Amino acid sequence: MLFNSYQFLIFFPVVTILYFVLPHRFRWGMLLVASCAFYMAFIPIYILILFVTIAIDYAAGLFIAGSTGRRRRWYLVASIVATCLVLAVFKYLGFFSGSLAAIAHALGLHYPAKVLNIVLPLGLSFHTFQGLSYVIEVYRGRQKPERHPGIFAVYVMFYPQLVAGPIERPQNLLHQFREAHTFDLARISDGLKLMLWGFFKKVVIADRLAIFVGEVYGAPENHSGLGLGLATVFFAIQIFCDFSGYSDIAIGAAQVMGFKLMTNFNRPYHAASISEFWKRWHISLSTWFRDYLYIPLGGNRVPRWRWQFNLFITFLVSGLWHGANWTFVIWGAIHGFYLIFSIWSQGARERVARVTGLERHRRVRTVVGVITVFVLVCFAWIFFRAENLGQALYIVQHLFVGWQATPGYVGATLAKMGVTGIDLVALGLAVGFMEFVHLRQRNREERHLFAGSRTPVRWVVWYGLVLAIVVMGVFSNNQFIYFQF
Amino acid sequence: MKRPFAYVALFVVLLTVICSALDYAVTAGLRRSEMPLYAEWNAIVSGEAGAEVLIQGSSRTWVGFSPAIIGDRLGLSCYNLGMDGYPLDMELARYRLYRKYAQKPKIIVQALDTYSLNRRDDLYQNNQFLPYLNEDAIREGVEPYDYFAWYDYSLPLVRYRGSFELVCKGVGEFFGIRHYTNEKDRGYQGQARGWSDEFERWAKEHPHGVEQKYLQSVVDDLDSFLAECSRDGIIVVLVYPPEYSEARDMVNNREEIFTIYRRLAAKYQLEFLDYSYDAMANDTAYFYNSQHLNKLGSELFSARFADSLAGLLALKGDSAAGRP
Repeated sequence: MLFNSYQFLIFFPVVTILYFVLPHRFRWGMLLVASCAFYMAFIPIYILILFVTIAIDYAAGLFIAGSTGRRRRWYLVASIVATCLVLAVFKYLGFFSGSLAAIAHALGLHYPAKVLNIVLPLGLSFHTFQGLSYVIEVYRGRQKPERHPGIFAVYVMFYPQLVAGPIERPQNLLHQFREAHTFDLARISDGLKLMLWGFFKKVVIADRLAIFVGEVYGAPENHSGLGLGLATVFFAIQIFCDFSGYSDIAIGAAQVMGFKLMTNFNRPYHAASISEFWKRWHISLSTWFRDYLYIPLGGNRVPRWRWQFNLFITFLVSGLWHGANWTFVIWGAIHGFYLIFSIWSQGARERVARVTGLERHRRVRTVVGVITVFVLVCFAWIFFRAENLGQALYIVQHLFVGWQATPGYVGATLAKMGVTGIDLVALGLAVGFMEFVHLRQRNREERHLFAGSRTPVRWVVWYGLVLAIVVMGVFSNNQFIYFQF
Repeated sequence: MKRPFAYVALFVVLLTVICSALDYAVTAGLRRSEMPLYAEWNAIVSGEAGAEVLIQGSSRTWVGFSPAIIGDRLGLSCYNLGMDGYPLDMELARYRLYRKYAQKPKIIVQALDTYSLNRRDDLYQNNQFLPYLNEDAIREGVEPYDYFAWYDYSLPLVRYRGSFELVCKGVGEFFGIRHYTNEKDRGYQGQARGWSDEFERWAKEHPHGVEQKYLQSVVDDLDSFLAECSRDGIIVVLVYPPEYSEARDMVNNREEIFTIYRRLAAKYQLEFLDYSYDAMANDTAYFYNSQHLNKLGSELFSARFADSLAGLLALKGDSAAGRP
């Protein structure tokens, strides 16, 4: 079920009302049933895959907690392998097989690629990682094993974050299912506001931009360098509004029922360095890789070359996590390279700042940093959005081709992308307002949106958001980008 | 938070008031607009479309029949209700709306096409219906398309969801900030265009011609409409305006459809004027594509049709007076 669907408009209030009407001891059961219904709205049979991973992780948690020494480690490895096997079969088998076939072909060998004609189960990477974090935390002794199979199942399947996160840690979420949440209107109101904000970002900004991005990335050869560049910038805004919008709706929906999910985005395009960007973008995944891959590899407490290798591997795997396509691998590699380069160039950059006098102007330096990071991130998004590597390389090669300094060129380029004057007005207003909110919320999380403002101001904002969603929204039931992962 | 439910109720009530006010402004603005999509609907609901001779049909009608020429020739007021892109079902819905706001016409010219008895899969230019969803005739007309849901009819502003441009235009019209002009004359607009290669391309794609579907339910609707006109004492003339001859010959089941038209004409003792074999049909100078007359063609055709209609009316007058 999509958050931006009419079914969800019914589903959400029904589930929420039932949650508060039912006695606490029945709530987990209701949430489990609701989460199953939510997931089964896509492809019902895939619920079985979810049950398999839940069963593996549940059993692994108990076995690990009940054993010691090497046996304990073996249980951990077995559960990780089993869980990853599910992921490998459904997500990566075709990719690896196709890549092997391509390598074999290049070497003049015959190796037929295995084609698995199945649709990727929605959110597979998300709930798999949430399950893995539980097993690892139990192994590390930071989390007691959950003995109640129902509550463990709800932990993995909790509908607000089931298909696209935030990827929670058991320490943060599991215990919340045992707490009796009361009906607190202030909290509910905050949750609903956050959902409203998420819907605004999704249907007013992301889904409108998706039309123009799709137009260009669907046939890049029909567009000039300016069109390709604009579409890439549009995609940068689209993916942020799409994914952070989803996260806001998820966090808000959970908050309405009294659950506190972790923050997933913190104004990432305001980052003045790549490392800062990754502390602000998809935080639940970045911290997952930090805790369960980067640090176990040794983190930065190793020789310098090994530290950089660890960073690169982490980003390479992160790219692969996003999708079974070389475009994602390269996207991850680009970010890994950015980080390594930023380490190498730190001294040089400091010297440049000293020589140019930027050192004394912190604000200017921050602005230069923000713009640089945005451009670098946009460049990487080309690989993320492109259908295949060939298309991505075509776009990169043609980014500066066909530019004209003639009057009307920008207008003609936008028109070719399908952007009308009214689209520009709508997007200008919406993105402008979002940036205003970001600047205003500088030191606060988005879940406390306009919390300090006076009531009339807040009400004008909420009414404005509702009207903007109704009037300026795109209602074509566009799926969230991250559902495919 | 003190009195939380009062707070929520106040928020919802205020939201409803704001949405209703905006809905009202947009609807009122569009209902007085001269924008091409709304001008004819507005002429109908304001009663301005009321005429003695009413011409109904599809896009072939609004570009093909000049009310000025026909009205002058007959000495009667005339209006063209031709509706872009729709077959009979929506044409009849438009007529029902017309009847709500205007006196019954003396004469209805019902223009026909080979696709008149079919139904579209989509609700073409669905924005045109938004300001009139409270009209029963429109509601009944659009309901079979399953496009609008209960909330479009019941909740304020929801029908305009995603229509930012339309909302801006409606509000602009309401406050008199923007104004549009209607270039149609009593529903007609001659198209000063030459022959395009549209037909040649289409003919290449369909070397064996096409089968034009028709629905018995629409045939029944036409039958009921003719019966209603007969009861109301309205003279109905069925007309098949000229279409380019090569296109005419590419509808494989054309005779089957024409048999239905002829049967209904005979049943209600109506004239069925078929111009599909008129000499005009062989000359692309009169068309801008295979189905639509251009300005030159429509003016020539309107004059010819007006003469025929005048003759028919004279004949009817004579027979009513008992003259041979």
